[in-house]
Amino acid sequence: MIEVLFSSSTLASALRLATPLMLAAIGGAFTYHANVFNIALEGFMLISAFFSVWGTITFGSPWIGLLIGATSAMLASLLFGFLVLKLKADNIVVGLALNLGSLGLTTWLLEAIFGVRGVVMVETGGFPTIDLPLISKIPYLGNVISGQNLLVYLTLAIAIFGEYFIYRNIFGIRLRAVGEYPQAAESVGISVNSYRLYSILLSGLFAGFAGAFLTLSGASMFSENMTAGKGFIALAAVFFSQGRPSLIILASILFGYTEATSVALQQFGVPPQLMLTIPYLITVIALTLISAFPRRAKNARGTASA
Amino acid sequence: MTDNHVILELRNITKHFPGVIANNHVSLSVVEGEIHALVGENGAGKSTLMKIAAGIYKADAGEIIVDGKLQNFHSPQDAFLCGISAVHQEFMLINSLTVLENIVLGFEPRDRLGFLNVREAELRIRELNKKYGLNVPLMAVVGTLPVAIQQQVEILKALYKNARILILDEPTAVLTPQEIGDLFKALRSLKAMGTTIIFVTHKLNEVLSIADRVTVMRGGVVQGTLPVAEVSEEKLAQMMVGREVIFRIQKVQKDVDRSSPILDVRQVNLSSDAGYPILKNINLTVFKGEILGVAGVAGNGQTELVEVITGFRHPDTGEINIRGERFAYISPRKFREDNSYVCQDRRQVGSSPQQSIWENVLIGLQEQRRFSTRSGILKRNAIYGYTRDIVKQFDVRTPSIHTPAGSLSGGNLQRLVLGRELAKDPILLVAEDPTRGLDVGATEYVRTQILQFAAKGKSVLLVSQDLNELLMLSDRIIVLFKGEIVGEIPGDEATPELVGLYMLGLKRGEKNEVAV
Amino acid sequence: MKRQWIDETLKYLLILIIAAIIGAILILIKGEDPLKLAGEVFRYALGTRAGIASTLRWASPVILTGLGIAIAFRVGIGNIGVEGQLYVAALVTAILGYSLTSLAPLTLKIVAISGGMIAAALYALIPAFLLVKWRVNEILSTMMLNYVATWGTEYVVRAFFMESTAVVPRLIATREILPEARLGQLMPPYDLNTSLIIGVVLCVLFYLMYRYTRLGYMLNTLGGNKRFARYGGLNITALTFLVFALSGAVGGIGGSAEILGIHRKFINGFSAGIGWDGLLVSLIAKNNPLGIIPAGLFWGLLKNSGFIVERISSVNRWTIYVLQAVIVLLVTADLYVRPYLKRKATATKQREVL
Repeated sequence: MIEVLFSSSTLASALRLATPLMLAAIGGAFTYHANVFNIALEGFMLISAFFSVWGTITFGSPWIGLLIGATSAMLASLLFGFLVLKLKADNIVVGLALNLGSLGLTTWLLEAIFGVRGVVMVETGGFPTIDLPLISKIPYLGNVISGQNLLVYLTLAIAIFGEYFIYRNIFGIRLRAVGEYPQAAESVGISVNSYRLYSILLSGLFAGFAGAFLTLSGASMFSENMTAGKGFIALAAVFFSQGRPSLIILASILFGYTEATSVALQQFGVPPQLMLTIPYLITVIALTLISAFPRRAKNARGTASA
Repeated sequence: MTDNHVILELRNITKHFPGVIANNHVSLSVVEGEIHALVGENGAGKSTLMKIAAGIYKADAGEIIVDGKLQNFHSPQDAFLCGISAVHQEFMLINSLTVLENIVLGFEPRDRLGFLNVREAELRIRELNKKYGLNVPLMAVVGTLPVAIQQQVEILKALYKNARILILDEPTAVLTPQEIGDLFKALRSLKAMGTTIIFVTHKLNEVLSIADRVTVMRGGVVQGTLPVAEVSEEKLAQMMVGREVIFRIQKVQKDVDRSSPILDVRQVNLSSDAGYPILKNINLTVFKGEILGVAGVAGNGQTELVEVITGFRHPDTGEINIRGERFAYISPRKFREDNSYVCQDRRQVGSSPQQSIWENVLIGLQEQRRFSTRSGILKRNAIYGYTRDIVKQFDVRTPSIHTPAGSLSGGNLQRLVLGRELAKDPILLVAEDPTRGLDVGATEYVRTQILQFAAKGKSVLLVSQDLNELLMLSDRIIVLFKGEIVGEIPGDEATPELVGLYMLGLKRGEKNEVAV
Repeated sequence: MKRQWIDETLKYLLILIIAAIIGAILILIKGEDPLKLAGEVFRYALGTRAGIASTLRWASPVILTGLGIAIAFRVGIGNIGVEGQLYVAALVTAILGYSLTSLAPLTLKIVAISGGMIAAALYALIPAFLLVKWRVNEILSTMMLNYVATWGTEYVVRAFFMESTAVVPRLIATREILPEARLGQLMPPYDLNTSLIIGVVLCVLFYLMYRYTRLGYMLNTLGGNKRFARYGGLNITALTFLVFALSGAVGGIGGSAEILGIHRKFINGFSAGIGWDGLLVSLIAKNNPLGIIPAGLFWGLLKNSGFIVERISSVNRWTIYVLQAVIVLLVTADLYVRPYLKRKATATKQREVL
């Protein structure tokens, strides 16, 4: 059993399963910092999952599929932004309704376009896998890291870059200002609504990438409701890591690992359900710890106003 | 510095808020390079005027002229572009960002990749720091800094944007005298470098010590602009309040029974979450029939003292005795059983705007058998009757008792709140800035009610930022400074000057404790 | 007052028309005749005994979960964890429902449902405790605890209460409840059962509670202005716990009733999102307990329409989700009532700035 837990194939599949979470969570990090509660990640992913398959089948290239998928998710996020920012509708309700609508729309499209129910396959295949020249030679690690889908590497790069982007880039600094104290941001001429909209569009873009990864890596297919709550796990990762991309990498791999082991351990009679609660349990615990031991800066704010 | 070049002129500015005229044809001209004080009581319209000048509010009518050119401000940026920058009472700082990030926010120097060019920003800010004798750590996270430094960050923010006109809205309210000294030094060096400063305050001694000219506002109207050299505190005070400084309302004949303490606070200490002391060894007693005034510059612990007494905060140590009953801490519920509390923020705390007037009156009384049955059914008729009595007795003008409380004007709402608090016939009334923002009629009404209440042999703890109010109503005044009681003055000996000295920490009473 | 009524009614009508047009387009593209289909759907759903029973059957659980959510949302508590709470309730109800063999039928039903309610209430008290003690955002914690509950109950069943020896991998279920525990059918032989009556009665009771009782007054005040409630001496902590518990318990009945009335045993994934549907029903009803009844019935009608459409045409029943989403979005994006309120609020705020 221990062997399975730490086998290179379990770890490799953990990394693979972590990738869509990581992508969607990076999208969620942008809305997190802009203080927009975004539970529509799930819906964005699902929309993109469908359209990336449609794009791949229609144009024969997974890259065009990715582009079309991400665009469709961004359009959905534009709708989210319009309703939440312009019409002042409630974040949660809009998010839930979009998730519901995405489910309905993708199943309808599946029938309307492909004339099938349930599943559509991409015959031409998805993204290529890549053997990393030197790393693949390292005995154990090579099997984990090398031979992954190209998007896995891109995602890791995006996450690392995202850390700098949010904390060092002017856009990121402004975004955090908007989320933390919108009036103050507004007072120096930063348009709060624009930045919130940018953050929502970015969440659509990255959730879109996540959806495309789901469909175009490995089996290369779209099935009804194929995100199956992955958007919510990604959201858990966002809150677990408080929107820090560096921690999102960690959280996603951890959550991906629990998913991977929940499958692997079934052969030993360990029910997968227990493993599947772990991401959520950990997030609740993390949220509690974050609230119970706030950082000093928060205290100082209380003093300043006193 | 060009002599008498008018850099900013406001002409006939008028601004209405629902039910109030905040600025009524206000005109003001500010000369380049001067420190121009804008004084007036709370609610005189100073802040509104300055928010209009800084592009935050839009005036209903009137003109803003900068350097002789008519301007139309739609946003704070429009004001920036004309060189006008404001430091608000509530700081516009992002706590989790560094000082440097806060200063450059919105106007960031960027490198080719769109990242913040930290080196360039740092260079410019250090230069400003040096030029104006400020000392702000650039890489510190703002939320961890003391208030005085945060204020300097705000000023640097303005200077970074090349502000030529700096508006400071009550900048000293949150500072200690030492820090006020530092601020004034910085302001003088800003002036020497040619920056024009508009200094909003209601503290007259500050006007005299820092300003070149002063404009006095009262009730949304400018009373006059004078060179500081030609005015005295008395003269200013008179212009501000519009009559002799202390106008006594009909003093009601009343006896203070110094043998029966009603509220007795013993050795209360309180510190903030971060460990700063907020209240230090507070001892105070309010006797039967007495109005005890609590004076102090805002932020010296008055709010927290009230919160401890009314049960909103637990003191670290000490005890509160009410009519001989002893509490290590009291709950708001227990406090309000026999006592009343008129809080400072009548809209956000003292009432529930969307609920009806009767629901606002019922609060805290819902358990009483006359208003609900044992099984928990409300007795609507009794409640309505009780509410109608209050509305009538306290002259609350409303179409119906089913009207949402939020639709009442400020004065009417305060009548309702005061009525609610007095109608339950409490033993002790704690009132915090009870006339803040009210018009003259409502103000006098509230004050008279408080006096009459005390005349019935009841006790009042009156916390107010309005010194006149304290002098007018109190039998005794205690002064809080940095969380300590630094002085106790009998009502008939109290003068604004004397209380002011205590408030500013320039004078300390020998005995720190109130005799029982 | 009257004008407002007319405005509201017109608005809801407009929303329905927009949704209908979108639905018609979706159906047209699939090559079906929307008018004919709509006529058929209405004839089945509202004109036949089976159709009415089915509409009411789908309305029953969402009335309960909708009320459960409204109880929390009314006072500004974002308990979006009803979906999880009802799983906990359902599991406990199922276990009680087959193990308490010696009870009289009515007692058995009451005990089984109460057991579920208590379990759901206790589960809802976890986020309540985290909120009160450490100010953990209840929206996040309840959301996470949903999944903990759905997977957790599945695990518990599989580990301790799994009945069938033939392990069908997708079907994880407990033993079947005793026949005495079954909720009575209202229109036999259809599934519709007494849980509809429970839901409607509870909605009315809660409406009366908010309007006429002391507790209702306190909860309205807490919802109206929390700082005022605290100022007035209301015990916010106790009320918060109470609201979470009530919300969980009422929502929990929605789960228990599905077990006792429909499935007769706990099955994994039985809810198919009735907790989430409840959130949307509560939204359409603007958290008003009386409004929950028509909103729930409407939701039931939509859901039933989906099934009918699928049966009689080539249109997938999930298409109805699109309409549900459109309706909900249009209701939240309340085109003219919201901006008006907002303007009023800012006006008040500005005045206080003076």
